[in-house]
Formats: sequence, C-alpha cells, structure tokens
Amino acid sequence: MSFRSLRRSTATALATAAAMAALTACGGGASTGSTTAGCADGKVGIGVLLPLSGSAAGFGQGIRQAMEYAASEVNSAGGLTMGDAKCTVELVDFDTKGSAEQASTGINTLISKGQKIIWGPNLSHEVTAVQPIAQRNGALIMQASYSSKGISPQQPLNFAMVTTPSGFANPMAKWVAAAYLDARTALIVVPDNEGGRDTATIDTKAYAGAGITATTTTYAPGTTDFAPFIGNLLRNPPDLVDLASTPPGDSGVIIKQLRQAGYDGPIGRIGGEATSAIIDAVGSPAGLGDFYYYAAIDSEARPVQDYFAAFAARFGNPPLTVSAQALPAARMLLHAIDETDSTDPAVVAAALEKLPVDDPTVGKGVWGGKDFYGINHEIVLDFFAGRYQDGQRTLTPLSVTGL
Amino acid sequence: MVTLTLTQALVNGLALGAQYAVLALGFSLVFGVLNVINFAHGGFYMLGGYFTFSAMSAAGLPYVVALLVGALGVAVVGAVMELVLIEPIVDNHEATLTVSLGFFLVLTAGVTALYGPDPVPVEFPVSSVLRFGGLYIPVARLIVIAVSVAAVAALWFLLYRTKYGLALRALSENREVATMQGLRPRTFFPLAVALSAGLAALAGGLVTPIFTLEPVVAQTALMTSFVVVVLGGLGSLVGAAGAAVAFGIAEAVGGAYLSGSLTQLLLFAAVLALLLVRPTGLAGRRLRDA
Repeated sequence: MSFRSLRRSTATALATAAAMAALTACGGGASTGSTTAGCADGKVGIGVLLPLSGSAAGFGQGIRQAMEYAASEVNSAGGLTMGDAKCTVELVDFDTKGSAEQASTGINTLISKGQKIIWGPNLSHEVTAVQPIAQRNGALIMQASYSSKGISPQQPLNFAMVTTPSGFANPMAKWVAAAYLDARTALIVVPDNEGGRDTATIDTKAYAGAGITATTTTYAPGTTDFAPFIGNLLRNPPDLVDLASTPPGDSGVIIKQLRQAGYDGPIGRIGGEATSAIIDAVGSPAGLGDFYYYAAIDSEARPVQDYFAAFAARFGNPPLTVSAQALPAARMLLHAIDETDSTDPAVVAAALEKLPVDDPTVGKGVWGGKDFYGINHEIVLDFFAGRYQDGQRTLTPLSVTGL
Repeated sequence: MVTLTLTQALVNGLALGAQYAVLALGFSLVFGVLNVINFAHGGFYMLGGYFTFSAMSAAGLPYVVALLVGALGVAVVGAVMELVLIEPIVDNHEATLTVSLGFFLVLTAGVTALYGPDPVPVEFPVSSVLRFGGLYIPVARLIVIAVSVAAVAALWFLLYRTKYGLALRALSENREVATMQGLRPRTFFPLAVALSAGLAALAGGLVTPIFTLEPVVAQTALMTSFVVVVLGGLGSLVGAAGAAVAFGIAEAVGGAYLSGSLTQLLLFAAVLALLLVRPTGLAGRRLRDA
C-alpha cells in the first residue's frame, strides 16, 4: 500500500468519524411515535428525552421504564380523561446518548413535534443544554439530574423527578459521622464533568456540616483502568472514600482496584443509587467491603417487589432498580395531566406542584428544594442509609416527611 | 516515595500497554491486509467479553475454555461480517468505514438490548495480589501481560513463519501481484478479519472481567485502538505494538501524578503534535516499506 493511500485513508477515516458525529448531532438519535400533542388523535404524547444508550444508559433506561410503567397503568385503566375523551399515553422517545449536543437536538425535535411535556433529561450537562430551549418554548421538563441549576424560581416549569443531593446529602453525612466515629477525612471521587462536580460540591458541604473534612478528586470520563489514579489517591489515604454520583461501572472498577491496592477503609456513595449495578460490576456483595450508600428505596420491600414483578409480567423483563425512584414522579405527572384535562405545561405545572407526594410503591415524601434551589419543585422521598459489611446489607430509615 | 510511585505507574503502564497492543494489532492487521479501517473493532472487543461471560454463566465452562470459545465465536462473527458486508465494497474506503461503523452500532445496541446497559457480574478467576516494598501487583495484570505477549508472539509467528502469513503479507504489499500469483482475497480477507476479531475478543475476554463488562466498553476500546494505531502508523504492526506500550505507560505515569482530564488532554495533545511532525505515525512509512 502506498504512502499516499495510507494518508488518504487516515484522512477519510477522520472525516467519516466527524461526519458521523455531525450526523448524529443533527438528529441521528431519531424519535419514534406520534407527531401530535394533546389528545387530537386519542393519544397524549410525553416527550422522553433521556440517555437511552451510552455510558449513562443504565440511568436513562431505568427512568424511561418508570414512565413506561406509569403510562401502562393509565392506559390499562382506559387512559387519561381529557374533557369528554379518553386518551392513551404514548411515549415519544429521543435518545440523548448522554451528550449535551444530542439533548439540545432532542428538545428542539420534540418541541417541533408538539411535545411540551418532557420526561427528562438526566445528566447535568444535558439539562444545561435543554433549559434555555425549553424555557423559550414554554415546555415543562421533569429532569433527573443533580445539577445545582436544575430547578430555580426563574424556571417555574422545571421539576426534579428524583431526590437530589441537596435533599439527602445532609442527613446521609450525619449518619456517616455517627456510623464511623473515627472518620475525620473523606475523599470524594467524581468524573470530571458538570454533574460530578456539582454533586461533589454538595457532598463536601454536607460532610463539613457533619464534622468531616472532604476534598475532591476527579478522573477523566471514559477511564477504564483506574490503577494509576488509585496509586495517586492512596499516597495520602483518607478515612473514607465517597464515590458520589460516579457511574456504576466506574464505581465497580474503583472499588475493586481500591481493595486490591490494600485500602480497607469504608467506601461510600452519597449520590444516585446504583448499588445493584455496582455489585454486578464488583462481582459480589462481599467484594464491596465496608460500603455505605444513599438508598432511595428498599428494593426488597413488598410494594417494590410487587412493582418489579408487575413490570416483568407486563414487559417481559424486570425493570432496572433505578426506575422505582422515578415512579412516583411519573405517576404524579400523568395524574396532573388527568386532573387538569390539559397538556398545557403551565396548567400542568400548577397542578403538579400541589399534588401530595404519596406513592403506593415507594412511599411518602414532600415537595422540597426551597432552601437550596429557591423553589419547592423537587420530589424528596423518605429514604435509607444503606450499608454492606461482609456481604450483608442493612438499611436505616432516614425520614424527610417527619422533619 | 517518588521512585515507588513511578515504579508502580510503570508496572500499571506495562499491563495497560500489553492489552492495548493485542487490541491494536488486530486493527492494524485488517488495515494492512484489506486497506480497511474497521470501526467494528471495538465491538469485537466488547463481544469477546460478553461471549466469555455467557460461556461461563450459561454453559458453565471454565474461564480459560470460555475465553477461547469466546475468541473463536467472535472470530466467526468477524469472518461473516467481512464476507457479507465488507467484501462487496472492499475497495471503497468511504463505504467500508460507514458500514463497519454501522456494524459497530448494531453490535453495541444488540448487546445493550440483550444484556442491559448496566455491568454484568463477571469476575476474573484470579484475585490475588503480590506485595513487596510498597508495590502491589495484581496477579491478574501479570496474566494479562503474559497472555498479551504470547498472543503477539503467536501473531508474529503466524505472519512471518507460515505460508498463511506469507500470503497475508503478499496481499498487504501488492494485492494485484499477489492475486496473479494465485492468492485469493476472498479466502484470505475473511481469515484476516477473523484473526483480527479473535485478537480483539481475546483482549476483551481477558480484560473486562478484571475491570467491568458493560456495552460502553466498546467505545473506549475503539477509541484507544484507533489512536494507538494512528500513532504507531496505520498498517504497521511493529508501530502499533510500540505505540500501544508507549501509550499505556504514558497514561499510567500521567494518571499517577495528574487528576481529572489533564492526563488525557496532554496525551492527545502529544499525539496530535507528533502527527503534525510525522503524519504517518511513529513507524508508518519506513517500516511498512522495509
């Protein structure tokens, strides 16, 4: 092969890669489903804007499953009441692939198709990309990120579908300080992105409030081997390592490699719950060592198990655990549409924020967020402090409704 | 302390470089023989992990057997891909790039649909760690290095000491002349892709149980093998192997001293700078023409 063809092929490869990236950024993650909003054709569309593939797919697909199940509940009961008509709920998907560019393309695509009730996005950088477009077009977004700017008084149509660190970090840090009396220092490990840094900032303040000095270290997203990073980390070993909202696969590798490197201190996760996926990545519960975590739900509680079984019966496969966290919000959003007979985002938002947080599967909660975000648009559910020791799990209830 | 950290980083870097080498050699082999940049390569790596996992969990095979079965299975997938998708358009660079990228997306989407987006529970059978003088070396990493060296040596033997290798090299040097000598691309091209896919699958089956096995590993594998092969010189096996080890060591040493995305930033900046000076990569032209 000649030098010229070799150079040409390299250039062609790079050009094709760029073209494919541009192609997908221009709507490669195409959506499916209805192109109408409201109930004109007997269907109410919910725009689903989530990372359904890529590194955050474990979260995105789980959150989609919550809305898929809530919609199936409504549809099997005859649909939403919209005036005199009954309308079935239809999900209109757009896969953000976990990127801000795709999320931006997605919100424009969904709005152009008439969808102004949006289930998602999921990641902080997606929310940052989506917010101005949603606000300009008067769309309601029910997002699942831990972004410090995810909801605000300036964006009255934005809601947080899951409890964010501002809701659970303080009680969790106090529980950690009580459970590990000798702990004075914590190292928070997060990916080097907006969501990671936002969670780390909140967790650092929470640990400080509990008398533990926390520092943050970041790693490049996409890292597969953390050994070099862990060698650096263990030069001054902290009393605790907190993986915050690090993706489950990354968390699993970090835990495995920390234990291999001889770190036997507690490893925790005051961030989004993904414990079952982390255990799969580690290999077994025993491999976690001493592990504490924010447990949004008790996955072994009867109502949650019933949900898992009902989902499996309806869709053929059990849902991802994370889906249970988002189930109350999905049900409440559909309930607000049903109650108002409207898909007008402002009307639905006004009804939504007045609904009580009391879910038959997950339990009770409150509308929170005022202290941190300036607006009570965050669904804060009662939760648990989870801990694994020698492969055995214990859960300590931490109530927000009793506060 | 500095010496200890550096030594630890070098050990980690060698293990990283060894796995990158196995991954990159297959990528480079296909380019060298077919003149095709196979974007499905990262998918073969991922598939190797899942085939091995399934052979262990569903068929109950011991890890070593499952690893070999997985590599063979993916080799078959590679050969079929070449025959069905690549062969009819093998001389069209743009079309082969697009088709192989499409096949990559099909593989990752298929695995996500079948196994889910989260990691699957797979463990490497050896978990012991050697410790001396403040250093720690997981035995699994030594096994990765040993298997990688053996795989590279076997590939070298195949290419330079067998008639099959001679045929592949002849097709790589001058397809027209080789064809006139009676070598049939339709026979050897699928075999080359099978060999490449098998190597990627071997790396995947070997490495993912040590780290994590989830669909997203395909993207990182594709990116790494592409960068390493471009750095080493497209089509140059020696260049790819050298670049893989250099890349692994640089990544490990950088990671030991820098946090965040700084290591990757410096690493990719260095690769770009090098390509500006040597557009054919470290060993692109001189070794290929030798």
